[in-house]
Amino acid sequence: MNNRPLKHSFCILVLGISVLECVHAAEGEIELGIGVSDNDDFLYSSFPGIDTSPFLVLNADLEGSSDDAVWRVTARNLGIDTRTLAADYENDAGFSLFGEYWQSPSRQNGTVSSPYVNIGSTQLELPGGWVAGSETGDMTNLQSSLRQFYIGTERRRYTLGGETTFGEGMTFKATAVYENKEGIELIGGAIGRGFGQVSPPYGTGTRATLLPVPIDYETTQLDLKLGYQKQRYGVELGYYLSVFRNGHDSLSWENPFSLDIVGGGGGGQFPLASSTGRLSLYPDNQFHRLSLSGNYLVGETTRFYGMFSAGLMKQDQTFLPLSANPVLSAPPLLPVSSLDADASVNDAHLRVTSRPMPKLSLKATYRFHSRDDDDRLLGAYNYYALDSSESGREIISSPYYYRKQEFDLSARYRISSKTSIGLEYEREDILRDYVDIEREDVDEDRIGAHVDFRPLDSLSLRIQGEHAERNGSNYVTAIGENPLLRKFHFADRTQDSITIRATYDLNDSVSLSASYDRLEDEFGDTVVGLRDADRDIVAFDVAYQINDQLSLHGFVSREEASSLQAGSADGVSVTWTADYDDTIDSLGVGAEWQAIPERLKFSLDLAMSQGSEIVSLSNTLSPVTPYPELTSDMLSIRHAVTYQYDKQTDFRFVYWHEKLDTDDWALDDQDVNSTPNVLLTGEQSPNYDDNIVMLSVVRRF
Amino acid sequence: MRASLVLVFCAALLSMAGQLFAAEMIGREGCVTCHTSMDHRAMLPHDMQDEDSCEMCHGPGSDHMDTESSKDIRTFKEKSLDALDEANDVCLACHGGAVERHWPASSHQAAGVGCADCHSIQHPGQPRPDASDMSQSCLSCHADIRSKTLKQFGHPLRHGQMQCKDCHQAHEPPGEAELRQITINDNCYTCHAEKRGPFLWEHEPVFEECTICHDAHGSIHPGALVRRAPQLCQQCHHQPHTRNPHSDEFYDFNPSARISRSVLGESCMNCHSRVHGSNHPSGLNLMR
Repeated sequence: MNNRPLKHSFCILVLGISVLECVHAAEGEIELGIGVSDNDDFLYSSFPGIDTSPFLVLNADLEGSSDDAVWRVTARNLGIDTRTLAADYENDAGFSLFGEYWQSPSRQNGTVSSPYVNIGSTQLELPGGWVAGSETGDMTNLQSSLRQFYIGTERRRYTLGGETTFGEGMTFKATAVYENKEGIELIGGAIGRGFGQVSPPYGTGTRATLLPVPIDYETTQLDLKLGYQKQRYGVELGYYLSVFRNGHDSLSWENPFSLDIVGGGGGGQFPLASSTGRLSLYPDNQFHRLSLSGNYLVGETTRFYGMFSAGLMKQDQTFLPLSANPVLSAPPLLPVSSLDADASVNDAHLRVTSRPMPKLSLKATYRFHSRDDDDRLLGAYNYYALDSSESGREIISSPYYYRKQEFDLSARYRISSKTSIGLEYEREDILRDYVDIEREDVDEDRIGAHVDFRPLDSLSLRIQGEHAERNGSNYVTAIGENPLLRKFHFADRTQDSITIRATYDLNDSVSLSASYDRLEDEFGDTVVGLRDADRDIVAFDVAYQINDQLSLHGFVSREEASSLQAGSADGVSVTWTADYDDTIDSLGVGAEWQAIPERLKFSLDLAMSQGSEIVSLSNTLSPVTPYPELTSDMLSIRHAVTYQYDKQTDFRFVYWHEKLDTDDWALDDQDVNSTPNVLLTGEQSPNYDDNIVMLSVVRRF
Repeated sequence: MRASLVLVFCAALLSMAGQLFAAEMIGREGCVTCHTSMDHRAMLPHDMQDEDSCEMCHGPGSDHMDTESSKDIRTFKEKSLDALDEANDVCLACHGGAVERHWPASSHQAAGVGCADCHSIQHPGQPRPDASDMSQSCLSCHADIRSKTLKQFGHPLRHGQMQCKDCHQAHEPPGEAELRQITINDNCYTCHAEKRGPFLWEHEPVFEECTICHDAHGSIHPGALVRRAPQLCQQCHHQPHTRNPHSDEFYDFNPSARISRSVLGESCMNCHSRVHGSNHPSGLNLMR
């Protein structure tokens, strides 16, 4: 465990307490204790950070005040790698400060394997004496060369901000955020016959390797807002800056496959295979945005709001060479050394809300968003798709333009104190302009209505429905694409949805609620691609305050999603279809029992989720091997006992059990060499069954 | 005419009677006589030690004290739509500013949500939902999202490492979907700035909306994808056997077959790993 952030957190906490003690008005509580875990599988659970046992339990909620100011310090999980420490200060003069340290690891799976000897480097090297193979099965010393490592990253974020008021209605607010992300992720790297070649076999000799890539990201954000607000009107000027820096510009690796691969599909021997491949990693970039917003109150019930912003996305990282293949003759010079991209992003948001009559509310909204980077024409050049021979195809990076406009009009009318109705109309218009765009204009009209009905003091109902139709200009299939294909975010679509919610307070102690949501998408003109998708969710909730000592709450829900996708192997007609059926069942139960008032309390939180996906296949051309069922079952039980020793002291015992059981056909039982043309890592889907016990003292003061 | 005069007279009489018998302030000491649990330390910023602190929000309490009925006091739990607006107005009378300016336009206001549905001022130190429970307050209504947050892949909401409020702003909706930033992508880029670009070779859906491929609230597919690759990719890329090594066959489950390259491991991303965009001069196919 890296103890440096923990020490920092502890120091800051002690400093915070000292400050609060200084003002002699601090109150709150601190929890201090110890926890143990029966193994380190939590390392890759949904709550990572417990990577050692025993671990420290340290939480705090502190606040203090003087005659004209308030302080607060909040600390969560300081003893593990998933920790937060936040503090804020506010005084009557309108000055406030806040700061936060936030740390969060992300580890999905257990150990994986790779033959590279210098994992963590951006120049991956194979071990000495490596036996390359045309396929993974031919790599005879693969198993003996494997090294194990974890896939995982960790984010650390530091936030500092403040706000002050001055003059008559002037406010200035500033927030600065610095975040870094470090660790190891997996990335696919391929070497082989280039995609996009003008003659067959179109890359059938390609081999891929899953590579460990070191992550070293830094993001710095600054958000400044200067506001002026009077009784009836106000304006705000804002500037936002985000700077991303990547510590690594590329990843190169030695090719574990042999250089004499014969391409399938009738291709000849692979003539210029590379012993080395090189990928570009995310380039450094910047984003600047200037915004101006204003509001104006007309009369007592009509308010105008407007916001305009202009942003600039910049990226100017030096290009990598066209190829890392040392066999190739010197690749041609590129027209420029970097993209020097300036993509402009413009947004507007106009809104008027009004209540012309006490029972009638109206709202009209207009939104505009555009992204334009029309200066990216570099000139044409031949490229090396996979560090193999020159493609022989000239490419040119062309401009992209995207514009979205939304207009929304809604009205809500209260028929009586028990009933209100609402109507809404929305139009969305999207314009796309770039090379090979299938459909330049896409429009969607949506109408919606809802009824809120409260027939009894104890019963409230809401029914909401929407219908939307999407279509647009002519759909022109991109060159090389199947002419029957319609991309689902461009395609004509009819969408219907309905939501029903009911809440019933049986009495002061029991509250019941139920909800049903259905969403239905139908892509009427689509022959190949996503043709329809439905989703139903039904949920029930209950809260029961049995008496002053015992309360219960719980929920149960089922989500069913299904969709139909069609494909065509001959480019003429549908030759295969796939039906997807996803089912997610969720259950939650919580209970609190004051067994001995102000002395002994029990609490229980249970969360359970069972998810599965079944794919039903139909193929007219040849028999297919069905996919195994995909499952993901999670159970989490957290049980706490709190004994109040006196008014200032509690003793707390927590038992936490968490179990995850998943079956994932893309990972399970796949060894590093299970696939002939991809060198995998042996990554398996996560399964764990863990227990954690924590014992702590809570001290109030 | 005579009947009208009688009606007017009766109405005036009732109005005077209403004034005469209107509830009166009883002061904090009167309230805590019964509501003993409220007699605790000051709750910043709602200082319950002031003499009229309870009735500033709940209204005069004399009738409620006499009848002990919840109908004779503003409880902030009323179901009537009139009472809901009145209760919200009580909060907004003090909590003006940006909240007051944007609240009438928020979808929560349109859905009949009351301030007290999410906020509780009567727990020490918790005028707002506690940070670790804040998402639970949202998810108690958004049951469809709650189901998603329990799925294997997504943002770490379940144990409080992230909160709904990290992305959404319930009161002041400057962005679409009541997001904190102006656009969906701007919101995602606050934590995933590496995917912002611009790139030499863009993957167009990426700069349009991340949600075309991802479900930020949770999914059973890695990367919180809405559908697992290769099928997700095939919904937009379905090329006949020309100028590329893929056929339009269905990529079935056959680990020993050549097409398993596009099914197992990272699926299509075994080769097309730069799916969010590539800045490599040979990265046209998002493989470099």
